[in-house]
Amino acid sequence: MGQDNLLEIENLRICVDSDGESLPIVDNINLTLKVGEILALVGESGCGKSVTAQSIMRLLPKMLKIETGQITWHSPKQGKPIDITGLDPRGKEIRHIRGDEIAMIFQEPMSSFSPLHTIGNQIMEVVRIHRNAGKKEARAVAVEMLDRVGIPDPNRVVEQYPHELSGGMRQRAMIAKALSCDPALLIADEPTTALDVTIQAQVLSLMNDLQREFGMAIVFITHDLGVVAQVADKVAIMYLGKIVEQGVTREILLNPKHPYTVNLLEAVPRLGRIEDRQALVPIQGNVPSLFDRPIGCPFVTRCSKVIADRCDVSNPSLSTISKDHKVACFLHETTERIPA
Amino acid sequence: MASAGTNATVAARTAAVRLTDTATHWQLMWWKFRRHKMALLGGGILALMVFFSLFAEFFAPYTPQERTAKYTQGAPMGFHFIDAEGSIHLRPFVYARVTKRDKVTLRLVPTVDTTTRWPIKFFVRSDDYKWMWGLIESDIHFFGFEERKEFLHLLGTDQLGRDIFSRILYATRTSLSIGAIGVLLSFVLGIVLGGIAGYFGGMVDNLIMRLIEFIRSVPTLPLWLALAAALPREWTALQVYISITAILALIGWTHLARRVRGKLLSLREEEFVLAARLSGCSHARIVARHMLPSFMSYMIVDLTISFPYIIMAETALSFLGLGMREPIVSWGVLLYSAQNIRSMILMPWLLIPGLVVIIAVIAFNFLGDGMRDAADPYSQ
Amino acid sequence: MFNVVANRILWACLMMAAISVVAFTLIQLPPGDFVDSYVNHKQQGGVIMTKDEVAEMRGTLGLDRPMYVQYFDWVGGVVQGDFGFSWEFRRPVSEIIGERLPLTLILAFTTLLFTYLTAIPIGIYSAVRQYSVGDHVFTVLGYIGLATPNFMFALVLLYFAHVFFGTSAGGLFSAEFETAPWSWARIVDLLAHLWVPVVVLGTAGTAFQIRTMRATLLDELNKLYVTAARASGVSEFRLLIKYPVRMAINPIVSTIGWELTNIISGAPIVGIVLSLPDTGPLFVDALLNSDLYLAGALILIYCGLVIIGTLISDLLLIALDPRIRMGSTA
Repeated sequence: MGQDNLLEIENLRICVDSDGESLPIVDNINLTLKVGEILALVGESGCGKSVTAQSIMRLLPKMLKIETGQITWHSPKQGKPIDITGLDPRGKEIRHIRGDEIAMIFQEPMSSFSPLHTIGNQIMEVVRIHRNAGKKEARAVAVEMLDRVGIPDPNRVVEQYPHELSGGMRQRAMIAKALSCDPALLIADEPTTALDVTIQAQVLSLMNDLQREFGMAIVFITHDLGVVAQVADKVAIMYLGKIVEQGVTREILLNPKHPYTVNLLEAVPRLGRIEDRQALVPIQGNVPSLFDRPIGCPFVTRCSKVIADRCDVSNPSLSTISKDHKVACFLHETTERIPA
Repeated sequence: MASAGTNATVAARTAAVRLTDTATHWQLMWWKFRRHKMALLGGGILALMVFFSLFAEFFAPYTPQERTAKYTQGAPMGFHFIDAEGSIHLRPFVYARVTKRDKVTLRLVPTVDTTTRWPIKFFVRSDDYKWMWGLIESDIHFFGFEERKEFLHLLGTDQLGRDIFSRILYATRTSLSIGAIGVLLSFVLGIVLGGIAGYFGGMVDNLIMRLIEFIRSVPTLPLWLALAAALPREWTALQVYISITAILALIGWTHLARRVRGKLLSLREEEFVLAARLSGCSHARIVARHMLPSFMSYMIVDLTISFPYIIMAETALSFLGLGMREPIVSWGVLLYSAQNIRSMILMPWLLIPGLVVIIAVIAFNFLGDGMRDAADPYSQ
Repeated sequence: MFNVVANRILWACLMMAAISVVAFTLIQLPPGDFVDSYVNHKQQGGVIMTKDEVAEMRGTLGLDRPMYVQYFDWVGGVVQGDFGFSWEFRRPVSEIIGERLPLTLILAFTTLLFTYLTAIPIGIYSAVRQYSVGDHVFTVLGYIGLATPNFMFALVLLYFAHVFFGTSAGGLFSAEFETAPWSWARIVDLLAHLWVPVVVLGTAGTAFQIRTMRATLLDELNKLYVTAARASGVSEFRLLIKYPVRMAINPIVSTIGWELTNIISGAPIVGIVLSLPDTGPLFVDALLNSDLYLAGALILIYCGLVIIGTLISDLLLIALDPRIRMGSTA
C-alpha cells in the first residue's frame, strides 16, 4: 500500500438480516483512494454502491451489518490510520470523523435539509461541532462557504429556509455545508441525479473547481458514465454487490473488458452515434433480486457471451489485466497469468 | 441511498408481483390481511359476538326483563362437575341456593347449599320465544332446568334479580346493531355529501367542507347529549332507538365524506372519467359506477374504524340515561345501573358489560388496523 | 403571515357565531317553552293561570316575538355576560356557571398538560426503541386505553379505591375544604384529588398521542435529513431532539384543539361518575330537567373553549412551522 493512501477498503462484505437469514448486499469489495483522487462507483440502482459509501461513514441502516472486511482511514488531521469498521457507529470517534474529515452529500437536495431550520443554522451546526466556534464565527464561515459555492447574496440565504431555495441552489448549499470543515474526503451519492440537465452541468463543474481548490478526495457515486468521464480519475463498476471491473477512468471507458461495462457504454447516448443513426442498445433483462442471486457469475443471466458450464458454475474473481485495469470475467481470465 | 431500504423488501415485492398476475384486488387484500394475527383474532371475537347475540333467545336462559325474585343482587354462580364429596358427574350442576336470614343484619341472603344439586339440562324446553320477527317459534334453550325453582345466573343478577348473562346477550345485539346501522347511515351521508363536494368542486365543495370543519371542531358528546335530551320523553323504545342511531350517524359521517371528496377530486382528472362522460354517462352514474369502486376498500376500512366510536357514544349516552331506555337493553343501559356507586361496590359484577364493551372495541381496533394495512397498496 | 393569522381569527369568530345558532336551536328544540314549564309548575302548586295571564307573561318575556328576534336578544345578552335564567336553580345562569367553570377549566387544562407531558416522552421512547419490551407494553396499554370508555375507567378506579383503601376517589376536595374559601391548603387539597379525573380523562388521548408521536417519529427517523445531519457528526441525542422530534411535534401541536374537544366532550360524564363539583353534572342535570338556558349556555361555553383551543393550536403551528408561516402550503 502506498504512503499517500487516504482510504483502504479490504474484503468488505455487508449483509442484510432477513428472517434470520443473512444475505450479502455487497461482497468482496476492495478499493483504495489516494489523497485528492476522484473515484467513481458506477452501477444500476440496487447494486450496492450507496451501501458501500454509507459504510465508510458507518451510516448503514440498522438491518445492514458489516460482516467481514476492514475500512482503514488514514486520517490527515489526526495523523494516524483508523480502523473505521472497529468503531462504534454511535460513538465519539466516528462523530469526529463525520462532517469534519469525511463529508457526504446526497441525491435529494430537497430532503437532505431539515425544513424547519434555516440553511445557515444547519451549516453553522457542523462548524460549531467540529471547530469549537462561537455563533458569530460559525455564521461567518457559513456565509463564506455559501459565497464560495456560488450562491448569490449569501448573507440573505443564510437566514432562509430550504423551501425558499431552488433545487440547484439547495444542492450548492449542501456542498457548502459538506465542505465547511474542509474534509479530506467527500462522498457524493448521486449528487446530480435529481437536478435538471443544465443545473447538473453547473454543479459538476462546481465540484471540479472546488476539488481543485480544496484538494479533497471524492468518492462519486453515479449510474451515469457520462458524468464519470467528466470527473473521475478512477472508476469501479459494480454489479449485484460485486466489483466487476475497475481501473483508471480512461482505460476503462476506452477499453472496457467486462460484458456488463461494454453494455453500459453502449447504452450511453453519444453524438457521433446519433449521426451514424446507430440505435442505443439496452441491456437485456433485469437485475436479478438479491434474494435470487444466480449461481456463478452475477451477470450470467443477462450476459450475451456466457461460456456454458463455466460462467453458470463458478464466480470469476478480479484479475489484473494491466497496471490500470482489473476485471472479473472468465473471457479475460487467460490474461491473469501475464504479469502486469 | 435508497438501495439499502428497498433491498430488504425485494423478496416480498417479487413475490407480490408474481401473485398480482392472477389475483384480484380483493384477493390481494385478503392475503395481506391474513398475515395480521391480531386482526384475525379481532375478527373472530366479533364474529362470535354477532353469532351469540343473533341467537340470544336460544343461548340466553332468561329474557332481559325476567326476574328471579329469590336471587336479587345475586353474585355470579359457578357450575361444577365434581361435588363436595368428590364424586364426578358427567352432567354439570349448580348447588342449590337457599335464602337465609343473616343473624347480624337480619336481611335475607341467598346461601349455597352443597347438599342439593341442580343438574343443568341442555337443549331444554322452557319459555316460548319468537325469533326472526316471529318467523320461527320455539321453546328450546341451550341450557336451563326442568324445575321452575332451579336457576343459574352465570354472571349474577342486578337489583331486580334480572340475569346479567342473558341481558348481555340481548344488549350485544342492540349495541352492535346500533353500530352497524349508525355506520351505514354515516356511510350514505358521507358518500352523498363527499361525493357532491368532490365531483362538483367549487362553491358546493367549499360549503360542504366548511360544514365538515364546523362539525369536527365541536365537542361531540355535549352535542349528542343535547340532541338526545331533546327527544320527547313519551316516545316508544323503538322510536328512541331509531333516533339515537340517527343522531350518532349525524356526526360520524364527516371523516368518510372527506375521504370520498379527496379521492373524487383526484379521480376527476383521470382519463377514464372523461371517457365515461364523453360516452354520455350521467353524473350520478359516473360517480357510482366508475369512481366509487376504485376506492371502495378504503371506505370499508374507514367504516370499520368508525364502528367503535359509535358504539362508545351510544354506551355513554345510555349510561347517562339519555340514550336507550328499558325495556330495550344495550351495553350502556346495563351499565346505567352501575352509575350508583353504592350498588356498584355491592355488586361489582354489574361492571361486566363494560368489559364486553372494552373487548368489542379492542377487537374492532385490531380488525381496523389489519384492514388498513391490507388496503394500503404501499405497505408490503 | 399577518394574513394567515387574521384568517384563522376570522374563522374562529364565524365558528362562534354558528355555534350560537346551534345552541339556540337546541334550546328551542324541545316542545314547550319557559312559560309552559312555569305554568306546569304553578299547576302543581295548585295555581291555575288563565290564557290571558299566560299570553301576558309571554309578552313581558318577549317569547311571542319571532324566533330571530329572540335569538338576537339572547345573543345580545350573552355578549354582555347574561346567559338567561335557570328555572331549576332560580338564579341567573351566569352566577351558577361562574361558580363551577373555574374547576372545569383547571381540569381541562391539567388534563391537556398531562396528555402531552406523558405522551411525547413515551412516544419518543417507543419510536427510538421500536419493538423493545417497553414499546410492546405501551402498545398493549394503548389499545386498552383507547378502548375503555372513560366512565368505565372511572367506575373501576372508584371500585378499587373502595376495596383497597376504603376511600372514595370521587370529588375534588376533602370534606373540610368542600365549601372553604380559596386558600393555599385548599389548592393543595385540590391537586391531591385532581389526578384521578385527570388520569381518567386523559388516558384515551394519551394513548392516541403516543401512537401518533411514535408513527410520525418513525417516519421522520428514516428521512434523508436525519442521515444528512448524522453524516455531519451531530451526536445521536442532539440529532433526535433537534430534527425528528422537532418535526414530529408539529402534527402533535396541530391536534391540541382536537384533543381539547375530546377532553371537553368527556368531562361531563366523568364529572358525574366521580361527582366532581364542576360544570359536568350541572350540564347533564340541566339536559335531564330541560333547564334550557343553563344547558344552552354550557354548550356555548364548551364550544367556545374548543374554538379558542383550536385557534391557539393553529397559531402555535404557524409560529413553529416556517412553511405554514410563509403561506407556502397548498
